[in-house]
Amino acid sequence: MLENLIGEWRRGMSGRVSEETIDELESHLREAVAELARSGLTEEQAFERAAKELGTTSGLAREFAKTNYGTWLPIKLASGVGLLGVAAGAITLLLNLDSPGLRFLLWSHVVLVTLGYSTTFLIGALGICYVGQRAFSGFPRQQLRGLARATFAFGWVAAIATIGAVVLGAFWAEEAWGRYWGWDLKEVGGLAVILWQLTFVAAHWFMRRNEQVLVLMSLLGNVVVGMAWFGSNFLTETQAYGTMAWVTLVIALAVHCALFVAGFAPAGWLRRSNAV
Amino acid sequence: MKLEKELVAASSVPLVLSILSEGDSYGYAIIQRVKELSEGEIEWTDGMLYPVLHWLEDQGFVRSEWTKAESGRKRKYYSLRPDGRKALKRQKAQWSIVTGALNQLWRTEHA
Repeated sequence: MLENLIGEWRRGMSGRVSEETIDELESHLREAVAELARSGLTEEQAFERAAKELGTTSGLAREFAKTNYGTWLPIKLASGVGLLGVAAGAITLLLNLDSPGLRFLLWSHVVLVTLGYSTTFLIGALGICYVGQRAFSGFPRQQLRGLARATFAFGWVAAIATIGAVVLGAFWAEEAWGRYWGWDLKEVGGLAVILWQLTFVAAHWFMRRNEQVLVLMSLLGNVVVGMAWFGSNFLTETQAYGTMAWVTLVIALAVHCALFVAGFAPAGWLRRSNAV
Repeated sequence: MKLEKELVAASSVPLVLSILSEGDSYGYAIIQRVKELSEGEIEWTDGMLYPVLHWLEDQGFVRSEWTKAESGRKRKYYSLRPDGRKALKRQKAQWSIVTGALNQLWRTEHA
């Protein structure tokens, strides 16, 4: 009887608050029912009273909604930038649809590699924003969960785009240079980025409850992509596109390492007042 | 005497932090402790406590852990974190100022 009543109550709560919260409220209900039953009420009467004292499903949902922080602004911004990037890539490919096959293959490779690497940078940017906000005002756990979910989704996009880019690049290299893979630094860099992205996505599966570490890992993604995209230019002339002073790269890497460490400092370590 | 809704809400954080400073506890037991301390004068809707506990956890003031009681029932226990102890200290100082000021005023009134 009690199990049926609780099952029905759970169904009423489902979707209004998280499953963990429903478990916690159920645990409360069971405590209250047991206490009331000891005072002589039947299980049904005890449940009705305990459920009433706990509050209506809509009332409870309203109370919990007050602690709902909504989507964190940097996630909204990163999503917007990401969508703009996808749109720009699609337009670039559409404008080059009439290019000869080999050239179109190269364009597709360039668009996908830019999308994959940039998305990894966007994930890293979210990590930097996390470290910044956490240092000054702390970071609500609910928001951290949302952030980890967002970096997981971005991680998939980045991995799929980069894998696609490397495969297309291999086909282009076979046509243009007579080999699919030559182990040059850009190719090795691409492979390292894919390995990193897959590790990042896998970490979200296996370390689901450790959101802080997952988000901080995103900073290391910036380091890997930075080295793959720009670092290899200093070591080889093959596929050395774009320029960047090596000092800039070294400073960027050092800053990321410092931010990674700072991410483990106590929440609000830079805040001036400690008001509740 | 029924307390005003606003006062009940404002006192919920120092009450929960103070109860947890006595030792780890779970929702149902916290509500019972509040009833016991206020001799039933502070009436919390049972469901009101949980958003407060979750907020305290979000702020890093408390941590939670599911454990199985001897009765076999699962309970989510809350414990105070160092930041929570600091927050409690600040709350005590602030409430002391308010109650101190009111006591002085009301003593003068009755003199």
